[in-house]
Amino acid sequence: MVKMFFAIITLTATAATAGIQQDRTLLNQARTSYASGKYNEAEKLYSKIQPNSDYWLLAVEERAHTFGRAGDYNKALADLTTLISPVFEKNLGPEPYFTAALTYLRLCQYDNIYAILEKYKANMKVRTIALVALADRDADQKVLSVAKNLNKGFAAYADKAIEFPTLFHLDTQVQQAIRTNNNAKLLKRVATLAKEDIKEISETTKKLHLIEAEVMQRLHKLEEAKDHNRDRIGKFKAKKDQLQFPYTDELWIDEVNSYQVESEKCPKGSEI
Amino acid sequence: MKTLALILCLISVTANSKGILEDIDSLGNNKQIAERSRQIRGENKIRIVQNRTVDRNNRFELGVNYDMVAGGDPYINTNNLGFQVDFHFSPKFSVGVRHYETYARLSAEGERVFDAYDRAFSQGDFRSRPEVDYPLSSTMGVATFYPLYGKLNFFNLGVTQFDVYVLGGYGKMLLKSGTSDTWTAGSGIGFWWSQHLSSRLEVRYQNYTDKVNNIERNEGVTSFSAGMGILLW
Repeated sequence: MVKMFFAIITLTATAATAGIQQDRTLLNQARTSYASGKYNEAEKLYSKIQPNSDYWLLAVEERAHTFGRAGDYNKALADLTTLISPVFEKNLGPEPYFTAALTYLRLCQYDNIYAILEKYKANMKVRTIALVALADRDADQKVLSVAKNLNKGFAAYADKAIEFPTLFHLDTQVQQAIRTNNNAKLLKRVATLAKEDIKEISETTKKLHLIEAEVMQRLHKLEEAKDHNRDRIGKFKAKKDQLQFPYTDELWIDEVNSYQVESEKCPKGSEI
Repeated sequence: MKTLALILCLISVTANSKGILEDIDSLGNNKQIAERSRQIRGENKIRIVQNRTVDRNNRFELGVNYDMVAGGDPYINTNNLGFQVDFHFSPKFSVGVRHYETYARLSAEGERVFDAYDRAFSQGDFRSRPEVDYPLSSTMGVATFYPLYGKLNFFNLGVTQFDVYVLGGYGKMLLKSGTSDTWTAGSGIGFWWSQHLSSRLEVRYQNYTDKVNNIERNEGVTSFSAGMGILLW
């Protein structure tokens, strides 16, 4: 299943080159709409980036955050289910975990926050150690070995993306260094990108500590409340010709990005 | 100077990384809080909701199929070569026309009976010649309803959606003895491989009236069918 995903990425690598610029433009337009508070517009722009694009995971990540901002937690969780699925979990930076934790905090689902923290710890420790090695120039051979195949795009290192800076193959300085066969410049730039990602992990970890502190405060209030009842979960909506399948532990590659979530919200009186 | 700055920067990263790792490790470490949070659970229901990969709204499908037929006259074995045209109003319902060319031959029992007659005749025993009747072709109008759907993970090469369907039809059958009304009912699975390629596996009961020695008989056959189709725009 994971192999099939990577095969699809490889096949579409060359075709995607022409689309990368277009996707970059869509991403920037979506970010501008998000910054202006036009969340609907931002969501539509993020949705235009196709699954075969190198920017697709990043678009889903930012779309999840947009849904959260707009208060549509069900859609945020649907995107987060795609992101934190076993297929993509190892390709993620720290931000989706923060978005997931914040969404669960807004829904008063504290048990799910702790589940997310465990996943974050498992993946980000591995990522931090790998990025530190890149920043310290202890993994130059690994970078050079991947750089030989970077013409394939993300597929060149997708199976070990957790060990490299996010989408580093799309960095213009990296691309120029590869074009001019300038290994020194390439390694220096990768080290810089690794340091930026380490900084992002550090900042996100601090934000997760804040969420954990908020959980401690709210837990006490919730435990004291007489009524723990939450509103009933809503019904799933599907269009006339859409197919519905149950969600199980077995993941099918055609199902990612097709999740719909109905969640229990905070008990009355304990909303954030 | 540049080298010194780089060395200092690298030392700084290495020193900080231990702190970052400790910071990550300390997340969720308050076991008491974690346990208390598990007592206040929030439930989420997740479902897969996806579009059909093949659009079957207002589309024609042309198909050919081969049937192995069981039942009917015990002295005859038949197979069908079928041709069908269906119009899909929606993924749930289609109507169409089916035409079957039937190929008949004597079964083992039929050969035995006719061989016995030939032997008897050659020895001067002029008993009645056995008679058989068999279909030559049939044409029916068919309505198909697709109430169930599913999908197959096809050897990890791709995922194919399918529909389970039931069908009913009515038409005319041409037999050696003449024509007969015929009706059919059955069930099958339609696989939609791409926007233009389909296949079907089907089991179908068909009823008709044949005539042997001027006596009409009500016959029923069961067809096991495999076919391929093309979906047109």
